[in-house]
This record gives sequence, structure tokens and C-alpha cells, in this order.
Amino acid sequence: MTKTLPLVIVTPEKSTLEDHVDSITLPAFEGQLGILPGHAPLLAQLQPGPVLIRKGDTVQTLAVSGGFVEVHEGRVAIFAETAEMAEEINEQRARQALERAREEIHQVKGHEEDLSQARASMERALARLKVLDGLRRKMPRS
Amino acid sequence: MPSLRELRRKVKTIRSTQQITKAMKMMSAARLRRAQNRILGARPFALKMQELVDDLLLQLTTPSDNDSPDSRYQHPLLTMRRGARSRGLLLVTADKGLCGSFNTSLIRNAIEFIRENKDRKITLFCVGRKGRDFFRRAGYSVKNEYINIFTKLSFAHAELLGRDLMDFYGNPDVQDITVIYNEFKSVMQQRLVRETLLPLSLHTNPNQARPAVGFIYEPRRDLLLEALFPRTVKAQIFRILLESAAAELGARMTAMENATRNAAEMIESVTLYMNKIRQGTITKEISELIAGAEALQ
Repeated sequence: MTKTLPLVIVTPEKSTLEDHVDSITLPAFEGQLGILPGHAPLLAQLQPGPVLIRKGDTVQTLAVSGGFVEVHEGRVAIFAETAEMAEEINEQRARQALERAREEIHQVKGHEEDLSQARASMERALARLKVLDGLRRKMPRS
Repeated sequence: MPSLRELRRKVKTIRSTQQITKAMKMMSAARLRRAQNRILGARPFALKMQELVDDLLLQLTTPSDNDSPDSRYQHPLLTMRRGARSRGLLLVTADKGLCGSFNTSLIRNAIEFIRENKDRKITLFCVGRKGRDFFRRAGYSVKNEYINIFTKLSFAHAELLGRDLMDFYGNPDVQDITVIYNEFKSVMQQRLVRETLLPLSLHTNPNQARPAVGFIYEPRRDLLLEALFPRTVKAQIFRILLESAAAELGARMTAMENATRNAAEMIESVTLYMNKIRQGTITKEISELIAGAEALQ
């Protein structure tokens, strides 16, 4: 008998995804975290990064910018500030954001809050680009 | 008896007012559709977050916890401080009027709240111009105000508001923070809600709630909850702001539709009256003419 994993992904703006999947890989606080059906109850914080969702032979990739994941009674709920499907990501904008954040980190000295904000936006941009990179490796241009 | 010309001018005035109310109705309807989609999109997040917090609260407060009593988790956002001197009130009104009883019923409820707590110090936070204006005119001090945020509402506003409220709640004199706002039920209906925003509390009935389970936490529980609770508060605030925005547009649309209909009725009755007078004048003139002609014979 094959078990599936009920999954919902919600963000403050909309619920992005609701599906039954085979497995999920998440960027958890202390490293990559894989979830299969029958996982024990879990509550984990997420880092900005790619979420891989496996269903049959297809793998979907999303970029999340931090949030939480809850596994409760075999159901998985991901709460992310933003979650974008790989197809929705604008590469140019992500690159620009990355550049901007890099510059800010170099320029800003001392002001702790500004610095951490710039770092956070850099991580978000990196997460988006990572998702795109992963996608490209899977589908090399013919 | 008003002259024909006066009546004609009156009809014209009503008609131009009707045009304005009609245009406002159309505008609200168009913006309402967008606001409605946003609130319907945001509800699942806030609801799920609340469910998650409920799960946690149940577990943190269940005595059969494996933890020893002294390691029972305490978080400032969860602590009840009964009998503290001061209470916070967040009042979410609209920036503009012309939306029926939307603002007045909110303000009335806020006044009631203040009356009920005469012996406490109430600190007021106002979202929306209408509420702020009222309490400022009444000479009541408003601690923080957030004006003109509804035209471009984003999660950033909820973050700002949440930070201010949680800062205020950090004060040990504060017992709790209550929020008064209008919930969007349907286009025609708003529901006035008064609920406790802080401390975080159990929303579902303990008997219906899902059973408490021992979670695996990553990172450590206190670190995780430290990050989670403020975000829950912000998610709730975001939902409240979106609810209010959609409810306001719904209220305005209904109010303006009524106004348009009333104007149409008024035009009809004035026109009828006008025609009667006109007919009367004509009849009078004819009879005078005939009388004059007869007198000549």
C-alpha cells in the first residue's frame, strides 16, 4: 500500500498549494529536512530556500522566504511569508535584489537593524536563484 | 406653492447627486472584488496559524506534560496579567465616510468598552482616520494612529502595527489588548467583532481541539516559539486589516446603492408633483381664456 502525504502551503496573501504528495524536502533551521508519510509530529522553523515536492515522477520546486512547517497527525502544513513556484520567479529581479542587498551590506556600517534586513533580503534572493538553478540542471537546454 | 422653475432645479440637483452616488457604488464594487479575493486568500493562513498555536497552547498547558513543573514554558505573549491597571484597545475604522453605519457602530462599541473599564487606563490605537478624528475631537488621547493605509494595504503594515502593539504589551502594567473591527461576512453584511488580540489564547473549544502531541522541535522549543508567536500576532492583524478593508467597501457599496435608489424615488415624486402643478396651471389658463371669450360674446 502506498501512502501519500497531505500537504498545504499557505502564505499571508493566499494559499499556494493543497495536494497529496509522496515526499517533501525542506530548508529547515538546522539543515535540509526530508518528510515522508508517517512522519512524527514536528514543528520546525524554515530558512529561505528551495522546497522540493515529489509526487510520482515529477518534482516541483518552490522558493520560500522563511516560515514554519508543522507535521501533525500525518498532515504537513507549511507557513511561509512568501512561496513562489519556480515558474513564477523573475530571475532578473532576483538578481537585482541580490546585487542591491550585497551593496547595502558593504555600505551600511554599524546600524544593526539595517544590516540584518539587507542580509535577509539577500537570503531571499539567493533562495529564489537556487530554485532556478536546480530547475535548469534538471532540464538542460537541448 | 413652489414655482415650476424651482422644482425643475430641485430635480436637477437630485439627479447630479444620484450620479455621484452611482459612481461611488460602481467604484466600491470594483475595488470590493479585489479586496474580497485578498481576504479569502488570507483567511487560510491566519486560520492555520491559529490552529497551530492552539495545538501548542494545549500542549504547553496540559498538566500531563512530561516536563517538570519548573520547566513549564512561559512566554510574555501568553501570560495573563489579571488586574493590571491598564488595557489596550485597537480600533479599526475606515479612512472615509459615506459607508452607512460602518464607522459609527465601531466608535459606539469603542465608547462602550471605555465606559465598561472606567477604573482602568485605556490606551487607544487607531487604524483609520474616522476613529482617530472622533477620539481626538472628544479630547481622548490616541497613542498611535495609522492613517491612509487601506489604499495600499500590505503585510508590512501588519508588521508595523504588530511591533507597536507587542512593544506596548511588553509593559507589565498592561493586562491585555482588545481589538474592535468589522468582519467581512458578505457584500451586504458586516459583523462587528470585539476580541482579545493579546495575550494569545485558545480559540477552539478544548474538547473539539486536536489531541495534544509531543512535537519534535527544531530549533529548540523556546527559540522556535520566540520566533513563532510574534508572527502569529502579525498574521492575525493582517487578516483583521483585510477583513475591515473588504467590509468597508461592502458597506459603502450598499450605502451608495440605497442612496441611488432613494434619489430615484425622490426624482419620481418631485417630477409627479411638478407635472401636477403644470397641468393645474394649464387648466387654469384655459378656463380663464374660455371665461374671457364668453365674456366678450
